[in-house]
Amino acid sequence: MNLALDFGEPKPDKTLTVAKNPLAPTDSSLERVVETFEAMKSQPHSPITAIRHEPAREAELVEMPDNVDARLTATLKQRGVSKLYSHQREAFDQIADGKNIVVVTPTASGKSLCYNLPVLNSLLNDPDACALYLFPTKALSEDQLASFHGMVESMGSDIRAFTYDGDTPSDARRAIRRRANVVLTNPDMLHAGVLPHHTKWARFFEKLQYIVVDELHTYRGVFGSHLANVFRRLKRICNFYGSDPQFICCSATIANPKELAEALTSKSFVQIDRNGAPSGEKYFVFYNPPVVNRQLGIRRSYINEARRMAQVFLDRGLQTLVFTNNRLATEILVRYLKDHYERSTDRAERIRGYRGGYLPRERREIERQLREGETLGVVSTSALELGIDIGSLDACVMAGYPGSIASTWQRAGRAGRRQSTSVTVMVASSAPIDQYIVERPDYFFEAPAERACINADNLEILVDHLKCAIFELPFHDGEQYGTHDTAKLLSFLKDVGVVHHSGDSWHWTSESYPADAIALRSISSDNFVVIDISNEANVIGEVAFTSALTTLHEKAIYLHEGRQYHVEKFDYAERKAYVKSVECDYYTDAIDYTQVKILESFDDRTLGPLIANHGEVRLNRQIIGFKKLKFYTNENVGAGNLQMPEQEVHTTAFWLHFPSSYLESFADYSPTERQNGVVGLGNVLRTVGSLLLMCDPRDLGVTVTGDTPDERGLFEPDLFLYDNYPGGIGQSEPLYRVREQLFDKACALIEACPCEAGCPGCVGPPGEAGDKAKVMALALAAGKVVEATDDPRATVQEAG
Amino acid sequence: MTPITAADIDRLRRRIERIEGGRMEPSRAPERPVVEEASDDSSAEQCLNGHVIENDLGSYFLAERFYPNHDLHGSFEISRLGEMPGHWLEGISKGEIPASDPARWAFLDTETTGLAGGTGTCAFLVGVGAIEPDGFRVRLFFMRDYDEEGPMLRALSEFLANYDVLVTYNGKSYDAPLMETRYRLRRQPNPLDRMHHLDLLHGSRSLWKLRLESCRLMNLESEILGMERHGDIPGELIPHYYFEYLRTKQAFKLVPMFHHNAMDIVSLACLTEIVLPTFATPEQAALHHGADLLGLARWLRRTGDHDAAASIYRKALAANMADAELFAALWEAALIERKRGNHEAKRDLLLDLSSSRNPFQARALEELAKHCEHREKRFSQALELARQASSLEPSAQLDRRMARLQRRIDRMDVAKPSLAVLNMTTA
Repeated sequence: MNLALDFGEPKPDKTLTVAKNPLAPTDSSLERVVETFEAMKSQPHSPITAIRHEPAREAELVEMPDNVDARLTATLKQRGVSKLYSHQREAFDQIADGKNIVVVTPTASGKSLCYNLPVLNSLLNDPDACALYLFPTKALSEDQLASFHGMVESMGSDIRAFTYDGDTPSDARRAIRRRANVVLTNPDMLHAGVLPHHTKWARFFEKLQYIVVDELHTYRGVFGSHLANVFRRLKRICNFYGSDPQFICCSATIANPKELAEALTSKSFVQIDRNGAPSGEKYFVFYNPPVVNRQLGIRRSYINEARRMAQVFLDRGLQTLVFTNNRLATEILVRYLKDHYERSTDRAERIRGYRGGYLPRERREIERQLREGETLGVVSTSALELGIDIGSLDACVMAGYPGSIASTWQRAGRAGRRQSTSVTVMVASSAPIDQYIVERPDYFFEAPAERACINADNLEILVDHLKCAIFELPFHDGEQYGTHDTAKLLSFLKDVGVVHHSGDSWHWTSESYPADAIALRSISSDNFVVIDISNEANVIGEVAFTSALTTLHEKAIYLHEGRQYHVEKFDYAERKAYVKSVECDYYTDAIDYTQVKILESFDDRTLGPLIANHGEVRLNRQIIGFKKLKFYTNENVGAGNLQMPEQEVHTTAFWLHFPSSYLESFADYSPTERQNGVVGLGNVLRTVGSLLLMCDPRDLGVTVTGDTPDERGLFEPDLFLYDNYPGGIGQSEPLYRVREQLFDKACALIEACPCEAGCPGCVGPPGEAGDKAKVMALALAAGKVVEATDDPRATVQEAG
Repeated sequence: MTPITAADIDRLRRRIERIEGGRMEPSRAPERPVVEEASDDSSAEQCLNGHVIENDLGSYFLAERFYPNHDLHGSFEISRLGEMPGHWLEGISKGEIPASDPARWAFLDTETTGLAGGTGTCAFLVGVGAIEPDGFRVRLFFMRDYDEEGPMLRALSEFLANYDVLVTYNGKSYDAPLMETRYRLRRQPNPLDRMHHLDLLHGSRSLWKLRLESCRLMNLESEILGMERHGDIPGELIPHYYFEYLRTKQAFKLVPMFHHNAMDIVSLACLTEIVLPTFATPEQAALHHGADLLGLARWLRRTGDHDAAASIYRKALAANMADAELFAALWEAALIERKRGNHEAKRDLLLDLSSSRNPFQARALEELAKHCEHREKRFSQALELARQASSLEPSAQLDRRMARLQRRIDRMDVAKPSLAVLNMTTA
């Protein structure tokens, strides 16, 4: 079985100790790795399901425009930029022509220059001019501020740029409002901290010429729908101050960048997608860990396989970035890789972790070390997926499918030097979506990237922002906001008493500050601080509210850069966790329990014997305990109970009601088996649902209620697929609409699955789901009463 | 245009109710104080004793309240306001506000639609008090609806053109930024830009925060001016009352609010007359509580006027004070005397402190040890004091001091016998 990683021992390679030359024409060891992959693929039952090759491409260079300020040209020349890539020039020309632009080119194609060039050029000519830069995260703002400052300083200009976010001290805020030319912030701050106080920003809004929106593709779903409304408000305020800024947007590859930009800003855009940047040749490898127990459908641990894949590159001194889908996986992989390289201390130190919870200072250091080649391997969550400047690497290993096509390409783009070969390996986990993708490479390689959809006129979201808009500036009679009947909404708001009509306008008449009650995304700024009290108290990290509950509960092992800390005290009220450094051979995984309560059904229809609904639900989620899992073997070596505060979330859901009479018609199945069937069907519906909606499967939560018989002794479960975000992101209603298709595809998926009685690729492994889960789930999906037989395949045919 | 259904509206209503809480439901508002029954005519003119005035932007409402010189506000006689000298402004503002005739001071307070701040908060009632030869006059600029805001702000600007100094209570953080926003939104120049601004909150806090639980204007009014209000409305209900007025236009409900605003302004003016002189001529300050004097002494110390501070510390120590404040005052006074080079006075203060159990005892003993060592060259005395300090709060610094003193004593014993010992009781 060593087939999977039969690479032999790499020859001692000088690149391990000698600083790498990124411009080396070829990297022979990387090519040897590719050859080995090719050889493995040709063997029967190869774990390698696909290798795609993308040839190298030449740069398309064009002259610098004549009207670029001489100081700017000189600085760029110093940085080795004397000509522009064609897309950079196109961006500059279109902006000069007064157009709004959206630039869609791959990672590391010099996108920031597409906005910095026109902005800096304008600011050099007009020292009063202003620009607003929006980034989805604070880290990106910091990163861009540093590079912007670099340019400004080397030009000897006094252009003033600042970040403005929740971390900005209040005494600095006043100075920034008065003096800044460029403000780098995020949508949340713009929404709650800037627009409602626009009079303090009067100078800035009067002179606002450009709005730069980077990482445009992140503004989809509910977040995007909110941002579109924030832009509607921004536009009203700019009107008030007599400015009409141009938009410069940059996006990763998605199916509809221009459409998204236009939906977000209500302006028309020119799309620039002809990439002029060069790239080396690239290989993309799909790897499905071998099955070790066919009956149980168990594959080798994808984490371990990802580690071994990473080692293939790291052994050869190739700079490698490993992406995981969550922070726990990140820490475990860092630990494994450090363990592996422990004997050669030099290399163990050159492996780093990277995720949101690390302190900004630590993250900046890792980014710098990556750029400078000091760090050889980094294991990261999606935190490094966005455009933080880390240079380009030789190899990228994904531990698990990132969840969307766009995100996968974005991560793959992190590997790829301009002149030499690079390799990306996607190691599939046993999650259904991973299995679907890895076993059907054509689906992935031929499908266009996801469409980013927003619904700026979602009535709930629109009314929330309409309130903010009235707070910011009174509405005049006849003023339109969004596509709904604004007059009707205003008079509705008057009826509930929050606005008042006077003369020819509508005014805010409530004591509340409406922006406070509206969060643009689920990410709470309410962080927990992690304090190491092994010696002198020392802050080692910060953790977002939601993950703090699962990673910092008392007795948890908190992992940070592969080191272990035991949580001594979890201070919920003060948002602090006190930890002590420990050495132990296990980590902890929290067990959460989610209850769903129906608040309101918007609509329901019978679906065969079932009743399908969509509507509003309340989730009550609580961490009730934790497991201690041994490193490497994942053996369960203990558990504990926890009393953690309950989290309540309102969201929307699509759900199915199973009448007891229907379930009882499956007379040959025990109540437990029926229950397992419902749970198994839930797993399948989630996979199929996320494919139909083209969303990340993690965006959909699945829960079955009514798992114990009610007071009449009847078992009537509800199966919920809910929007995994507070407030919902509009996925339930479309699921409800395609419910027939959902069931057809669920049947097809179960039928096509070659496992015997359930596996992680369909209803879940039999160990968890029970022996009859697959056949029962299929029966339920097909909506037919079937006889239980010993041979599931017979049932499959009967049901199909 | 996307149609909006009745079900949509219902859903939105429930959502907004969740967000806004009970605020917009009048029936769920807290108990209100009793107001007189509605008269037949509930127009603003009738109930609020004022006039609708037209200007180039439209109309607004203006009411006046006059308090003649012989009136008492609590125990404070209004006539005292007219007697304030213009130079009093210099002391409290450390010279930033030049002397100005009190007839050119405008005492301002706003009533607003909320405390949240931001562009959606509006000042619907702006009261301005001014000192006149016969008494104190408060003008209440009021918008009967939002379309009167522009005219009201314009009238206020024109009125304030006659004044140089703006006096407020917490106005630097609240009223002034709010007015700036309102003028900006109405695209009018802000009249406050050209005025000097005295925010009385800071001086009042310096004087009274040690003694009084709260330095809110209402509290000072009863504690300092001896004034009790009757039938006043709680400030937090004011936005609610105004919103209700906007809906019903029943002006009689605003009567208590107008009274509230006018009273705030009269109290502000009276307090100004009490606060300013204490900072202008601290030596003559009519303060009787030790805590108030201590507050003033500390303010003087912060401004760097050590001589005046020392004198006020002495006055404070002579007055009544709680123990905690007394000990702090002794310690701070000793430090000030040290700074002034008045070592006799310093020693006496430290001796007082060192002779009883208190938070400064060890520090006082250590200071005394330094004094004995450097000023009086009495090393064994100094060593004894250092030992006592060290037995209370040991520190490395004290250890070093004791070792050094011991060496000096050892050397001296060899050189010459010790002289008479100063009689210092430290027990």
